[in-house]
Amino acid sequence: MLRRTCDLDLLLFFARHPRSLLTSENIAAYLGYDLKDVADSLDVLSSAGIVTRSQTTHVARMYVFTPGGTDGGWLLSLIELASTREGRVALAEALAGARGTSRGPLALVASDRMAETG
Amino acid sequence: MKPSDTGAEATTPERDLVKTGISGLDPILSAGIPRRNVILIEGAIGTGKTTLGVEFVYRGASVFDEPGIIVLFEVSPDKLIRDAAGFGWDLPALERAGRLRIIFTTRPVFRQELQQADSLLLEEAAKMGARRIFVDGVGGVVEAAAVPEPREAFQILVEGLQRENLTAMLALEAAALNDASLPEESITDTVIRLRMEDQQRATVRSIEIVKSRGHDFQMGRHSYRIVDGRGIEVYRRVQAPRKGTRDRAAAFDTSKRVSTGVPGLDEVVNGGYYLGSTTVVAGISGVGKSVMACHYIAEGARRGERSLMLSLDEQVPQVLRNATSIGIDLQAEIDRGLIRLHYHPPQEIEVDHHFHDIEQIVQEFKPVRVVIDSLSTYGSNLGTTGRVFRDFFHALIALMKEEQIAAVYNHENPEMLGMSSMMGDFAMSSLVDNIILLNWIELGDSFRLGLTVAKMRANPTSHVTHECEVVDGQGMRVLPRNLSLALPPAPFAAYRGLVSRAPQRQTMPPKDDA
Repeated sequence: MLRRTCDLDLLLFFARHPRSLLTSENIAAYLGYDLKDVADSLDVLSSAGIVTRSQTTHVARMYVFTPGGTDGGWLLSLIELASTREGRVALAEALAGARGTSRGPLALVASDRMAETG
Repeated sequence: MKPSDTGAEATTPERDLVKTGISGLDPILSAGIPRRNVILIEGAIGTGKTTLGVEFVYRGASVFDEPGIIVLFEVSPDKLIRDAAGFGWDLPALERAGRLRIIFTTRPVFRQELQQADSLLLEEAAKMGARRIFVDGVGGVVEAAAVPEPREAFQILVEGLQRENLTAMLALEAAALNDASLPEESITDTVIRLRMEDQQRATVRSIEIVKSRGHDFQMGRHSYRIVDGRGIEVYRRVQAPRKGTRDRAAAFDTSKRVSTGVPGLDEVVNGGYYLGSTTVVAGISGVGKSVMACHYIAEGARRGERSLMLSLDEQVPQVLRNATSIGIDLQAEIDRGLIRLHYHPPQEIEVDHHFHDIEQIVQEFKPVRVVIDSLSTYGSNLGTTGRVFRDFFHALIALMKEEQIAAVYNHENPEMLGMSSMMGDFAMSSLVDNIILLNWIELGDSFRLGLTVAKMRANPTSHVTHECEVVDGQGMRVLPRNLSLALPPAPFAAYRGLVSRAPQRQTMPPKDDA
């Protein structure tokens, strides 16, 4: 599901800002990614049900983080793991190395993490 | 409506008022702020604007069944939630219950949103039935508007907020507040100014209602604190007028007197002090004022009356030890719930907060007797030349009268032998009902203790100086007068130097000029 660091960083951004009224440009500026990368990542998170966004003609949209929409609570473990610099770097490396596997790389990392913590 | 100079009660119907729920603030606002008012909170960095705004919304959602929205531009919502948890406010629980929304946005987006007829923000407010909104950092919203003018941009912002019948609180950072008014102040309905000021190396916070349309409020700079685990606590400035009952309560009930507890003293003061009276015991350090105080509260306990001693000079263990040395077991009475001893460190007394504490203790404990030890310590901390000390003492007296407490204030008079003034620099003897002077009198090679009732308001008494003694293990007593050893009273004519402070009795009566 999450395949690029932009997806991860956007996920972390919404975890910190669970309800935000922003433009895509705002988000791109906050995260330091191209607008297109952000737009793609927004689609990813939205398709996964992690973020809902208002359908509107406005320039800005209301983004609402909906972690309860995912199965198993793995998302919160993932966010906790990524809350440190080391964790985020490890996850970013996992993303880079695991592209092309049948399962989403972050899902793999999260399941490993949950196995470690019991 | 004009602000109150008289402490008048609220006149706006309660249903039309929004209670902030912030401790101590609603009484200053005469019960609350008119619904749909736009409230500007202005102050420098660190004054607590965000805390006040968040508490306004939190109390609304959790106490008054008024859901609310918090709009943030800079502070990350997760940090706001963390900080709020430090005050005991569970914001995530309110979010889960649909009673709170924390929305992170940018100033340009926010401004554009409020100008849209189908604003997402206002739609969110309508969906959740929001009644309150707090916008943290509204100054930049106006400044970010290139067109129209900032004043007009602010007006548009206010109009947008009022469309949804929200009572809005807007935080505005004002680096240096002075008498010059900000454009936002004239557009908003209520202006609340927060300040932090240095006072003799201490930092003091103050809150002032500059204006508030549609209701009464109490003017002036009141104090406030930001308290861990609780939030903001506002303490009405001690000078502010209290409710009228305090004045009405001043009338004495002449049927009840409170015994002093000092053997022999009740006879000197016509049987004791009236309820609601103010007594000052003045004398130099070590003369026995605190001993008298111990007798006073112990006598109250013996009669089953509650007594409170507020000490600024000695800590509680020291007071207990001193009492034990004169045969009084205060600890036993504390354990019975009849006596309370409170020690307040005199350093950096913040007078509004201090008075608030005393008021809380008095109203909760309901003592019949109170001893304050000592007035002179207040004077040395608050200063005796300005109005603060006098206003504080005035408020203290009014509180005690309202609660019909017989209050005794110890006062250290600096003069060792004799007194040229009853209260020294404290020009407050007119506020006091009773004044008892304790004096050292040098006779032969000894200092002996003299007690004189200098004043008993509406309660004539003799001004004879009585000898007292303080005996280890027994305490103080007023010695009986042995009139058989005294010279018989003589008319003024038998003396010379009557106004010289040292009149001398003549051995032979003067010749009658007539």
